[in-house]
Amino acid sequence: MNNLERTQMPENAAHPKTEIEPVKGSWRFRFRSAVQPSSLALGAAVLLGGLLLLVFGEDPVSAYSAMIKGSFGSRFAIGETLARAAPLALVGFGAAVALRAGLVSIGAQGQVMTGAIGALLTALLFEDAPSVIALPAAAIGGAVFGMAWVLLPALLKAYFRVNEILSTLLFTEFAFLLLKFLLNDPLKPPSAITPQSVKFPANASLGLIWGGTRFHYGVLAVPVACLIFTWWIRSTRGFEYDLFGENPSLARGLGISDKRVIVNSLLISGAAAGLVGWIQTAGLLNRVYVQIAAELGFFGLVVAFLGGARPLGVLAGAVLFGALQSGGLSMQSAEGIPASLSDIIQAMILLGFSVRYAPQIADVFGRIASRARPKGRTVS
Amino acid sequence: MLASSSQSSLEEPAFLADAVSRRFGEVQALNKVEFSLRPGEIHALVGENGAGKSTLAKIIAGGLKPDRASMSLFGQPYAPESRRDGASSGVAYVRQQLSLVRGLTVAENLQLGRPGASPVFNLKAAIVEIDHWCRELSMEVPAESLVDDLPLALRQQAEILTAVAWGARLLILDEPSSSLGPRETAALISLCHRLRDEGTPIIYISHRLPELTELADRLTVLRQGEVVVGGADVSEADLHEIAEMMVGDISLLEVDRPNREYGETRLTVDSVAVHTSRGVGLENVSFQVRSGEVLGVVGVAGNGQNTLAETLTGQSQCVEGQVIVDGVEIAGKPRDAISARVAHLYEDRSVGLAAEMSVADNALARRVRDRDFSRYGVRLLSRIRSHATLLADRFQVRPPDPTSKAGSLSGGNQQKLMAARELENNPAVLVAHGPTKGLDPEASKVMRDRCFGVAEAGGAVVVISADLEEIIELADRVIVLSSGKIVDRFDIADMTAARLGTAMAGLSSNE
Amino acid sequence: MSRLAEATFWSATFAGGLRLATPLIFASIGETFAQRSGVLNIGLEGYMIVGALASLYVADPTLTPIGFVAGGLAGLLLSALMVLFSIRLRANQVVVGFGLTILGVGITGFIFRLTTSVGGVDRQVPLPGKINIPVLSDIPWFGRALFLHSWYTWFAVGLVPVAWWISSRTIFGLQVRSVGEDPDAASARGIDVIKVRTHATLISGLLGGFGGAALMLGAVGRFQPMVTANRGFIALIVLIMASWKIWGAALGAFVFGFFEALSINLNNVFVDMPTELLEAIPFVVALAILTVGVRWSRMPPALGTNYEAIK
Repeated sequence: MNNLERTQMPENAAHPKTEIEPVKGSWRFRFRSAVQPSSLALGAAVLLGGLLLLVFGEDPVSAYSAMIKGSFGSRFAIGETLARAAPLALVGFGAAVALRAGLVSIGAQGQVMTGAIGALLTALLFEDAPSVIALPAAAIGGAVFGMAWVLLPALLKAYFRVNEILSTLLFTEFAFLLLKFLLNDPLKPPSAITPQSVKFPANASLGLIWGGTRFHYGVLAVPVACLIFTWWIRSTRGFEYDLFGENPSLARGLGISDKRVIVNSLLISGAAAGLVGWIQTAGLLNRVYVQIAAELGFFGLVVAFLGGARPLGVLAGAVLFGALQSGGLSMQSAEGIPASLSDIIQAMILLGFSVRYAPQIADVFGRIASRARPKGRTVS
Repeated sequence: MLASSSQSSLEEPAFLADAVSRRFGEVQALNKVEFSLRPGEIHALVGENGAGKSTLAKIIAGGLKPDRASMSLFGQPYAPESRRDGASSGVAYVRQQLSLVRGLTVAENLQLGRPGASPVFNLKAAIVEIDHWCRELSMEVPAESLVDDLPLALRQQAEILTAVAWGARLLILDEPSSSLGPRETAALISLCHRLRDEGTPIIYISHRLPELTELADRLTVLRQGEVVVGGADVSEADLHEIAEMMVGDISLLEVDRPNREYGETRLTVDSVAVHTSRGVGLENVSFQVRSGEVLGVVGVAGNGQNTLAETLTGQSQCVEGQVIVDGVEIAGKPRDAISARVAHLYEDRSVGLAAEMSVADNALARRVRDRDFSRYGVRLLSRIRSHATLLADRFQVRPPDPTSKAGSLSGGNQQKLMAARELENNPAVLVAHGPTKGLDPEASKVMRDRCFGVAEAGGAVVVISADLEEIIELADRVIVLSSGKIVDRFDIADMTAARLGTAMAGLSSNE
Repeated sequence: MSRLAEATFWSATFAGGLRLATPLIFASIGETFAQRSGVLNIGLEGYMIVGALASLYVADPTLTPIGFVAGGLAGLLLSALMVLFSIRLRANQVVVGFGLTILGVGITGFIFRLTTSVGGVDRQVPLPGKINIPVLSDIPWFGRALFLHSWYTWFAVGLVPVAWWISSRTIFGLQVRSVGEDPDAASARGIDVIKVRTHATLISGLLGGFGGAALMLGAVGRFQPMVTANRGFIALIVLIMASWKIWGAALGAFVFGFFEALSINLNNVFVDMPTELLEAIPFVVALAILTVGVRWSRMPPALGTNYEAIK
């Protein structure tokens, strides 16, 4: 994570630090580094979005109230928000594992697609098996296909230093073409006109938790993944990966293999994205469509970044973005205001959040904070 | 060959500094230093690492502001606000880094940032100008080569050339010969002479005494921020005496040391050769360190010290020879070194610690896989925290708060934290690279006691340091590294200021 | 199969390649300036898409150059945010770049949907005619491929030597390269690092916007969300292959365009082959370029790092 924050320091800039900075992981740190700036960024983004609406002659109040109604206003809306938050959170957990090791993978998009294909193919293979076997088999199939799609970029990064942002992006293109090919011919049901796959076998499907909404059992993968991610951060290996992300030279000096960290952390992120392919197919859509991955790769990474690559942060970011997206869509149908407004708001949240360490801004907040409460402890 | 110094002393000095003082924190880097430069002379500024030479040079060039000083340049009062300010007054400061942009050609560097240059870069004119100066000063700088592709000697010539072409009236050369071979050094000396004869006075900063007899007219020796020899005529000076002056009075630094008993050999380095793409490698390096013994490795920075530290800790692989700790070979794998209990105090704390992680995590980094601190692969946080608290207490890390960020500790406490991590379990071998670099005296003492402690507990200690005081205080034996080779070795009892100064300054030891 | 032996097939592919490469040439040349100055400008995709939309909405059917200029200005405006966030406020360049891409896609989608009624007719521009260079374009076989193009393509091709000249034969070009090589050394030579990076980033915004406009007005003619199809990211790959050199960037852009055209034209030759397999060709080439390019190319050492002036 902090690879991302590294800025070039001039040689003479000795910044005497008087206040003990709260450590990563403490509640105070989390509040100051994540909750506070992201709520400020959200506020600013909502204001600017409102301004944009005014410029185009729309009423911000009705737009935003439609958005809120569409995200939390009803049982259906809440189900919709959660169904949209789930894939974001899963991709976000995977991206967070990579981010913690200093890697930026935006290839989740492609891995979601291949994960969906993998889940569907596995489920078709187990079509006659009982659900207890078919259901987990489909999940594993999704995860394995997701991992397979990131394997080559990971090896290229580990052995040839090929930029992982760009290589995973190309693999997304390959995944998209593969998906298009499969949905136009081999996997397409004879009756269908538009590209789509055959129906996901019922014995491996995930049902709905709330009937009449789109809140399906696949969403339960999120708390499970959240626990696994929490365990990962607490594990000895996760610690070694963090250390590599923070200080690769020290990690190498302590005998941590950089190749292994790079390959494994990207594989983990691939598995998470593959599972998203699985829940989207087995739970939400019941078929594979060309648009199955939407913009999950991008937004999952954004959620991981906003959440400080920590479990609850990612979860909160995913719910926020899930709400914005479902609210945006229902605003579009209710008020005729394009759902892209939520993209704009999400982008502005990210931009606002990205400058939270900017000295100029920290100065302003620092001044406000020091006026508001007594000075912190000092080190001699 | 000396310029007639009696005559020129009547002239107005080209540069005059009076009572220059500058503090860095608790260290008085310069204390009321006086310095004068006559027109048409080469004035050598010598001294050990940390004597204040570069600080003085930066102040003259405008890159650093003195706490107090009064300076004049060619008779005018001179108080530069910045390097650029100094440059426009005609003071050119040439050092090895930061002067030329390495990814541009020499011709491009000539025009980059040049005051009054036209917005269109005229390559032909730049080449002609470079050729002109090359002829004038008998240099051979290829105008269209990338600076990066030039050997160091030519890069330096290119720097001097751009400085002269920009109209420098006073040249400061900071350690220009430290990485040059004998032939290139000779060429540099004759270039300096030509520049002087053309009327550009030069301040020449160096560790190396022998070349100064040929090169300089006068010399000033700094020690711990004070002038100990001011503007002596080189022709009359005794170099060995000067070398002794640089080092200072060793007997004052001698510490009471119990007669230590050495045990069996714990570290063997047997005719090791290491090649590296970064910096200087090693060639045919052999030494042994016994239990309870401290070996000092001295030498001017950048002569293979880094590679030595990396090789001993398994981070660099030997091409020839082997490194053996307690009978086990360290074959270029950090894990080997860790399981052989080789401890490493990194020279650079930003490498040796993860600044963004907590004190507890940093204290544990070496032992994260120990069964004491994890169950089923999950770290036991409370145990890790109490481990950190215990260590912080034992090694006096302040504040002893295991949850604060390592990067928020002071330098001394960061060093203590690193020592806590590396030394907690009586290492077999300690590689301490500049263990007190940048620390105040009190923290330095604590770190040195730690290094001693390792030896007393039966470990073998290798202290790599450019700080002679530290070597004298710690080491039982000394080896001197130069260009990756051992050029001298002696027992501390046989060490004299002259011998050490001589070896470090690159004079041959049998002179 | 025999069509592959015909010269017309290859000259048509060549011409198509140049046409498809045109937007990429603009974008990658602009990006070369930004990255040479040390700014990893991942928001290029965003600059292109706002450029595309703005050009379409401003363009008058009788006077498309106005749209082209508007596209450039839109890209410039978005890149000003890159300057503000990354160069001035020193936020992480990659994060801000992603943010700007999402913002660009969002804003264009918003405006497009707001102004296009569902099922209604969306705004279109006629594609430009080709400028015929007499005599030269009549040369058999390759004459038409080389000398019959729209003015966007001519502009892009003409921009290459100009950009090269600016980059290597002006003091500004020297400054751009110096602050990406070693900002400390450049600063010691009196260069204002922040200012130079600002200018270089704005250039990439302008040219990125031109790229989007050229795509819209010169090749597609009508907007759809995500119309730029990751071309902004392809430009980043092209730069690695080009070792951050202007001519190389233009050549790399053309190579990508050529393989894109090839995959389209091969589709008519190998009718039985899945089109997706052929469509993958340019991306396979890009992956190969990326993998091989890393080995020989020399990255600006300060790329991606923010600079803080020494007070």
